[in-house]
Amino acid sequence: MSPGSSALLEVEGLTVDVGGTPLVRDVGFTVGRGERVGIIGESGSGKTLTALALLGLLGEGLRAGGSARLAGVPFDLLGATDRELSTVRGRLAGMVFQEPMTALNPVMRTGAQVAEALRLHGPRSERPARDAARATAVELLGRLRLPDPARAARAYPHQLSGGQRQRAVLAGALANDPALLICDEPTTALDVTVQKEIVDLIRGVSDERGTAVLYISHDLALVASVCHRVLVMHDGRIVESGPVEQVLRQPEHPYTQALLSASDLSVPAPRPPAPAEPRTLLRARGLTRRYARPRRGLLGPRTHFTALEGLDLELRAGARVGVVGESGSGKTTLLRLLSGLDRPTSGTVENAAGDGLRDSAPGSGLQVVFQDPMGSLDPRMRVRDIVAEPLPDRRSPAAAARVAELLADVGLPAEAAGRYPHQFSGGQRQRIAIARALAPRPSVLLADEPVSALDMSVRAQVLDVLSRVTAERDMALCIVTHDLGVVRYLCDEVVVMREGRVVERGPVERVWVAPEHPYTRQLLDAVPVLR
Amino acid sequence: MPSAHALARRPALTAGGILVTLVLALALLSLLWTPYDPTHVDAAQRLLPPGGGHVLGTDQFGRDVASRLMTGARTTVFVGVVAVGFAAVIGVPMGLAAGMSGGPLSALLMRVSDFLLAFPALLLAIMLAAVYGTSTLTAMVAIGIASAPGFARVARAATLRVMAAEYVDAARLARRTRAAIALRHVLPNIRDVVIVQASVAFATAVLAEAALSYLGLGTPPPTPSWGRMLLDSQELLFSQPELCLWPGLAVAAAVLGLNLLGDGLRDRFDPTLEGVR
Repeated sequence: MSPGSSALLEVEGLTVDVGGTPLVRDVGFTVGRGERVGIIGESGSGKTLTALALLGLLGEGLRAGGSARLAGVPFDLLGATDRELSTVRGRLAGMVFQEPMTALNPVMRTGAQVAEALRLHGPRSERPARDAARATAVELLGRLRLPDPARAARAYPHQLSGGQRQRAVLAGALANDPALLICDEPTTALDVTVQKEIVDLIRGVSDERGTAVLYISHDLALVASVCHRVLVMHDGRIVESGPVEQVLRQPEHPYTQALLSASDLSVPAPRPPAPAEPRTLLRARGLTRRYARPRRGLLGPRTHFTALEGLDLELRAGARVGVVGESGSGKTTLLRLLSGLDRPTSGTVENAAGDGLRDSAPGSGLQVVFQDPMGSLDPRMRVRDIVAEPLPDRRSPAAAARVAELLADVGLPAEAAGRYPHQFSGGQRQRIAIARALAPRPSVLLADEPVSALDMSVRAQVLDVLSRVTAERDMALCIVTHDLGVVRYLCDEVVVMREGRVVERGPVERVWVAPEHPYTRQLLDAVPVLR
Repeated sequence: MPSAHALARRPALTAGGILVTLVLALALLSLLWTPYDPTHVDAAQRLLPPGGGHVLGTDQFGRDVASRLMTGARTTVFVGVVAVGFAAVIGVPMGLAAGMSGGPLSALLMRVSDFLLAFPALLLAIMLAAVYGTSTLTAMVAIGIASAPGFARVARAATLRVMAAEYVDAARLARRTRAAIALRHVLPNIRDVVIVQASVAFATAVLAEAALSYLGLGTPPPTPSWGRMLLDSQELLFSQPELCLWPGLAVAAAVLGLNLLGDGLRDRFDPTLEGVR
């Protein structure tokens, strides 16, 4: 567990700039042999650029300065030519990227890609023969605990799951037993239970082989569970560094303190007083959605895939329900059915549009806040038009007044109305999306992963806006998410889904303390926590 | 306005822009002024070499080549604009409807487009000329019909991408009608690819008009057109080669300019380059 004393990587005065504008400024740190160092920062902090600069992988127009020495390499990594660096990449330092699908070549078998890493990066004299490399690749995949490694080696990347793909990428990066492994958000695209497996794997390999790890992430808790030491980056600089325990327990820099308190969702948001006689706003009965699979062959039988089976849900005024599940659990299907964007194969959705409960049609009494605040706002429209879109008289002065009122409500300045979505940060864009959802005075607000695309420091703010606006209007709030922390922070009731079925439901605190279903327990265990 | 530095970073866009502007300027200028009357026949001034009173010389009927080249640019631009406009007006709504509806309507529209694509454009022009007589209009319609499938395909692909965006779901939840979604969300977001397609189709139209006129299926005499000038100069190819050089160069410059412009615009609009300034 104790990292070696001699330095493996020494970085001094590292800068990255584009056309004279500095993006990374004067970054210096060391990584000891076998040591795991985390770099924490939000989007734009320069953490990824730092890692890319070390391996000479910066994009066009970006220039690195300073010095970076890797033990066993006679030249400075930052001044080296591409040819020189190619002797380092993959052999002395391996890299794992965020998105395993794009890191792998889609038309090449997985095993062949791992074997290629062995053959290309290995020392010329001991370059293994093609067959030997293939065999070693299978062995490597097995060591990274891919089930049935021989079969995985023959599979193409799209035939593997996200977690399996990331294992294959890891196998390629570790093929030549590098002294340093650089991981850039390796689990951000993965489910939380898979994340835990990958992180355990990285830690295990590092302990077993003495591989040093430079682990880049926005997730404090995750870095705390992997690393010995942590560097906090903000605005292109390292603002704080030290052993994980020390930085997390006694953060010195105000930015670190702010980041820590924003990441901590364990103290629930203030709850609104429940309405005296909560009326039912939305009722779903026996919701089932099946999709037809393409026929296998011309006369093959028609088969179906069941995305959601027999779900019941009732939302009352003032309710805050969290639907939790991993990818493929049917939670997005549920949201599309509830909002009327898709029709159920069987079952009914009724909502309180006007006086009584009626069949759900898109937009009647129910609005959605989508996951990606860039994709859910039309890039060609001004904020004013985006927020006014659900209003019946969107060109009238009354509509303009309502837009101004809504923008103020979600904490945006009035002049935001005249600007375009790309001029805002992720958190601000999500506020715009919330303002639009509130415009037609819905009684139910559905939110699909509303904060998973956002930086830690704005997550709590956006959740607080959601909480406040729904409470003020006696609305029901239903959040669909993979993030248990978000549910605990905001919701009273939780529904845990897996493969299209509800496996457990109940009050949040009860489920948190005493989960009944083994899957719920597994989910809870997989969440990295800041102790 | 883009700075000189920005222009230098996009050489294709700049070179294409200059060439296209030059052709447009010639066409516009010819409306006001040409050195001589481009259709004035003068047997005494036949086949004069370049220089002297006639910058580019005269052809076998004694007409001033420079004046005919300028007026020919007008025909080229006119045919291009009308043919491409016609193609876009047919093709874009087809692609939009196919992309938004899906299912049988989409399949039907795209098969119609495939049929048009498979039908030889030249045959279409000959058919139209046989029925309606040769005229610039017939040529424009033939070229327009032949270019429409390109617009339909490009518009459909772009529409499919837009329809998958969450802001379209949000618009449905805002109870916008399909027509409103098409006009307010889809069209503005597929505009870029349609513009790029238009510049490429324009180049094809210039070439097609020259080819049709050369075959005698396009602009009838005496109206000058580059293709017609090529046809007229063909019999003198060996004695007066420069006579076919000028219209040939003009066609090449216009097509090259439009293609460069199209490439440049595509790079400019490429969403993967967004944010790279």
